[in-house]
Amino acid sequence: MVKKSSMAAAGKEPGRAPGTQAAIAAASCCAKRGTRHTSSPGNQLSRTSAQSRGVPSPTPPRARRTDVTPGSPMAAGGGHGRGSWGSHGETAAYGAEGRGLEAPLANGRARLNNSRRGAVTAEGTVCGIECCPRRGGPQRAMLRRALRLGLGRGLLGRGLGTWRGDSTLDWDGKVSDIKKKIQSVLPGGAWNPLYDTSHLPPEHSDVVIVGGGVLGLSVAYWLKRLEKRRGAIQVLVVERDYTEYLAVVDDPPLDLQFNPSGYLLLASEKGAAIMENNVKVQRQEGAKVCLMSPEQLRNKFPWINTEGVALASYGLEDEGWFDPWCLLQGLRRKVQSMGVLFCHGEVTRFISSSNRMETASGEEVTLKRIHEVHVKMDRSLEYQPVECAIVINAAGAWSGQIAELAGIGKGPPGTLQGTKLPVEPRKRYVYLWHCPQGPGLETPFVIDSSGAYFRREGLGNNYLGSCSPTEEEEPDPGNLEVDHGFFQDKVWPHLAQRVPAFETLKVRSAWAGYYDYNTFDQNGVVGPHPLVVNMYFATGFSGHGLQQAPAVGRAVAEMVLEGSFQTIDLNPFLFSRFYLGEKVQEHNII
Amino acid sequence: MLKIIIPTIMLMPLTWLSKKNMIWINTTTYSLLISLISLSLLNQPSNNSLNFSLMFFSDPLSAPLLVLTTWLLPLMLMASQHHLSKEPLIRKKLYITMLTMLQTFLIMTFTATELISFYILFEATLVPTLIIITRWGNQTERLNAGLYFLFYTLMGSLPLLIALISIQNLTGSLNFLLIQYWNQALPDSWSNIFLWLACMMAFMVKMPLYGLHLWLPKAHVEAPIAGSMVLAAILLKLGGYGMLRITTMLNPQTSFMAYPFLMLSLWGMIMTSSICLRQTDLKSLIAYSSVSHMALVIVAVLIQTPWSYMGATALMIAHGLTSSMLFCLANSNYERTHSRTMILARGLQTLLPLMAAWWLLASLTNLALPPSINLIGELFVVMSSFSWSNITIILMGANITITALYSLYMLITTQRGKYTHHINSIKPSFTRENALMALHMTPLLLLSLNPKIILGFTY
Repeated sequence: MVKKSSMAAAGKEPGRAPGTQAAIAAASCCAKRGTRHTSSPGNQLSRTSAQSRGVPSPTPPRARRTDVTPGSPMAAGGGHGRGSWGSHGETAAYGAEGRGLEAPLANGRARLNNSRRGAVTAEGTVCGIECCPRRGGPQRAMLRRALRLGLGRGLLGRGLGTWRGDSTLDWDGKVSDIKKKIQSVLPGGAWNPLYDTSHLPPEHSDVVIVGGGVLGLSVAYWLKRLEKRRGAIQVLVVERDYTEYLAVVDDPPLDLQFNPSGYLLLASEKGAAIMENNVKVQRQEGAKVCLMSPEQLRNKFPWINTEGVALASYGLEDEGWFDPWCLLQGLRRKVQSMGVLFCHGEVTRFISSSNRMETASGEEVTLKRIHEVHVKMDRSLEYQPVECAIVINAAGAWSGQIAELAGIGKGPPGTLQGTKLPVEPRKRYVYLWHCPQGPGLETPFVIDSSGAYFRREGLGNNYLGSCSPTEEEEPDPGNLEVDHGFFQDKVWPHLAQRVPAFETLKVRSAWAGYYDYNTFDQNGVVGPHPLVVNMYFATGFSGHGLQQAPAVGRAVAEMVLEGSFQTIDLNPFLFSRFYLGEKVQEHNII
Repeated sequence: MLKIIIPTIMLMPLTWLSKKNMIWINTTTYSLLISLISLSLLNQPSNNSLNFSLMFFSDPLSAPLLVLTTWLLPLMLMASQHHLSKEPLIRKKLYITMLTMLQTFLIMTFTATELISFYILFEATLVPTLIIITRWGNQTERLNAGLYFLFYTLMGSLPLLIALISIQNLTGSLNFLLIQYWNQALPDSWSNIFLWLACMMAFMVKMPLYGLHLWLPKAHVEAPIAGSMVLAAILLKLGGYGMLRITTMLNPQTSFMAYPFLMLSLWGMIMTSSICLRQTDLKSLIAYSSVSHMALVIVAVLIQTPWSYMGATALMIAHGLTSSMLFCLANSNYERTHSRTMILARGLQTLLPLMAAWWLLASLTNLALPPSINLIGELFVVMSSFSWSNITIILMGANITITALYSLYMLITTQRGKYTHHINSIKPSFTRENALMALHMTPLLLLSLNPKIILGFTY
């Protein structure tokens, strides 16, 4: 009771407390993002910088930026520092301080209040606690004044007047407190007779989507979109890293920062045939793509060195890049408005039952079925078993682990049961550099035959690009340190060779992120697992997740609801291809 | 009557003393035996009621409901075996004890001679039901559902207690058997109108009347399978039974007080049937269909003609068996797919053909296909309401059509179509489940051979 009155006395409405908590949570969340890596949408690397949009706080999602000091030359390999670390650290410290500050203050007030009350009751008067730091705002003060005038003098004796006035303040606070309590107890309120479990996910959900990245959200979106009636399917998205606290209510309609610009793919003598083939397919599907000879290329983009280029393909229409962070946020908001539940936690266990069956050829297979998903709450030992009908594995780089939890790949090698989901995290870097002499506004998204790529970033002669490392020099995915030596040794030579102007460039910043890399054929896994019957995949896009998310989400939703792909036939991307050994390989792509 | 009550009470020691592996089989067979004993009550040799003692009696109205109660206990036990398979032994025993307690209270409610003892037992049935819903329900929302269930029914029935006391003052007795012969009309005054409302409202909430039905879908959806079964099959019928009993002493108020409630029921039955058409949740569809069927019973009781009484009693028994069977079918789907959403479990016909046959039979009885007793009940009600007012045939006809529509909608979405990948390897239907469905279906079919035993006291 003492605590309650102190809250009221401090002019703090109880309703505001969760707000501050949320702020703290958001702050600590910021801090955490620096250190934790999570399941992620496929193509986070193509994200444009948050700073260019002038968004103050959120740093890029799950990708730590390492700023190189502007003064140091390009060769600052060892200079990659902890610039961003510092800022994260600050936020964390602020959050912690804020909380620290709050607690002693509240305690102090409580103590103060208590001692005063003690003193007053000893004197024998009923009330009269003057302990009100005026923090409640002008309206509250006005109300108090009115109350003091109305009640304090009128109803009761004049002698007690001054005391009385303040006591009504206290009374006022208490009344609103009691009112709130009654309101919450009434049916439909938030109050619960038992312990509060509102922070836990629901005990039952029809569909559980593991991973709240762009693919998971896209599946959620299409499930809700294709359900016949509103609210027919309960969908729960479980996400380990949860930056939703930073979302702003009532912000303007979604602007994806789309930047129209063609993709310019360059092919060497070897890749020319494949490119021609690719372009044929693209044209069949209605894409406006033109093929260019080195001569034409030189005429159009004089800054390109066409040495070793046999053929180039250039997109003419509806191509470009956009801000994936905006898309993710927009999707999250949309999906939330459609009734999808979110939960900040980690899937640690699947409870499943297995069923032995015999195939027509007499082979024995064990069919599994997931009944419950254990969701461990973030930074807590508490977990909630969620009963579900369908699990969708969209955990990005970590979907291999999730599949293993469900018992996929735990069988004798060579059998279907022993076939693992070949998706693992791979670290990829993106560098942002400045080059005053570089190509101008018309710069397309250039993908060199060597695998290096770059594009314009903003209008200030900044460029953004990188290149995928070869299998042998795959960086350790354990952390998200950026290797500047990689740019120096592997990326820059290619860039400089292709665009001579890039001989002199200066790296501004760089970041690292994870690909959900499919080691089998670098292509997505879509649709059900043949043995764990109620697990569906939407993962393994090895960097193309963002591009393909809307379509894949729809495909998975159709598979769940209709039993087959309806709009686009994605049967070549089923899990069974890993067992059958049918690679879906694509060449000369980025 | 003790020959049924005492064996039912003895079910409790049987439960607690049974060995672990015998607990289900012992209780099920024993309760089935009890229900066989109670069958003898259906033989009502004279026009008078069978008076067993000062406390208990039975007549053609209460006997079918009593038999339905005893018949349903073994079925509930069979249905909940899978639901409880993961619970510790002591909780299983507690669960069976709760069901047994509920059964005891229900038997005594249906056979009580005194209105006050009827009232007390009527309220007592709330306790085990509430425990079953809030303890063994599926999700957190069960607590909310329990609250709704408890408070709707309690608020409705408190005025009844006061009304009963005043009737006791007025007449000097609350004995059902005596009240029948008390032909003195209540004076036409405001206080008697309130008396009428107080007496009827308790049962209208329980039925439930459209507008007071909000507790029912919640409770049905969140309750475990046995809870849903007993709620749909028997607890709703308590309302109908109470109304049939108490209207005899509320003359002549009923003749004019009935109008608004008749309207509300006629309107509500179409509304709830239409709500059924757009349900996505299987259990809630069945729950709303119960509300719609019960509205027919309310109409029948309020019209107060011999035929409408016959229709009401027949409909109560028919609906009890049908809706209980539908809940069992929904539960067998839920245990396999872990989802009540209809569009996530389609095309089950190809996987579980025998279950599909049960689905077909249950849906057809639900939409009152000709030889079933559901049709007999509906026909009586429609005919008597037609002769009460010709216009009602439009509403009744619309309701019958919509009932057929949603029953077929439910059948088609669950059974027909192409099945999806995630229901590919569901368990085959167990003998236990097939037996359960058969035990629901057999009485429905047998009663259609000789429906006069469930036509109540006006036959």
